[in-house]
Amino acid sequence: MGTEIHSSSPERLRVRAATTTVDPGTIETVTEKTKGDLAKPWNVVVQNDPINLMSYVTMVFQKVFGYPRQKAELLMMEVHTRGRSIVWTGGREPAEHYVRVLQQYHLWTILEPAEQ
Amino acid sequence: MTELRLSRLPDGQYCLSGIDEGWEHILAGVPALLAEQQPPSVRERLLPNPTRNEAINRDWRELVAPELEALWRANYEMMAEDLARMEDDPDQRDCCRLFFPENHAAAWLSAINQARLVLGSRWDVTEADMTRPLRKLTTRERDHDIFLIHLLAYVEELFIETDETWPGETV
Repeated sequence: MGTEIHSSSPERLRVRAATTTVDPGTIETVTEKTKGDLAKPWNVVVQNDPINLMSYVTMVFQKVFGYPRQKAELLMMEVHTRGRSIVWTGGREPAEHYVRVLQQYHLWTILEPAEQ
Repeated sequence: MTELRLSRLPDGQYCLSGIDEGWEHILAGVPALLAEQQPPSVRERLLPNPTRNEAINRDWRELVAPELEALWRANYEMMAEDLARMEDDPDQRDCCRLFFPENHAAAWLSAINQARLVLGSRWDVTEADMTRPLRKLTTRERDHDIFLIHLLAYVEELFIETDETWPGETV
């Protein structure tokens, strides 16, 4: 895009807030729970919308994930025909990053726990 | 309307030509549209809640949404600045042309795509609307904007086709 931004992940900021506002005994508990949450796999899901062009969505998948054109087109077609597609699965921080970047490109993107 | 053309020069610059009065009006409308205060339905589409978890969504609205809005604003302002440098095309009567640097193309693409989404969200445009034959469109404002979404799709395709060597982005 025209201007690249490097944001703080909300998760990272929440961890930082927790470690500065509660007593030491609570800090350990909160941090451990958050670390566990971060380790679970999350799905980055792109949902269909009637406006984004197929060629545009394919291009975005190639650019953001580095997917080869064929894979990007398959995912785009899944979005188009099934209404949604899991385009990436992994740790929460990179998943949040991908959701932010895909929303930056105006794709209708959400994050969900992979075990659902 | 004339045929709008987008080409790359050997130094990487883009040249948009074939800009007649009609295209000039449409292109100038993109940053103008995006500068408007958008209704809630548009904001919900552009900045959807990323999860079903309200705490995460709240953080997202506070931390990520403002960054995205600032980025999108920078993109359409860049497009507006480029449009202000439009010049008469010596090769095509009654048309203008426009040169802009390689690194502005992504901003143009972002602004044009966003304008299409804004129009679509404002009118709750559906898949059926988008596949309706253009000859069936009426003179009503909603159909006018659906036609505009199609015209901007044509411009968007020019950018996608022209930029075949888009580099990958890494996490």
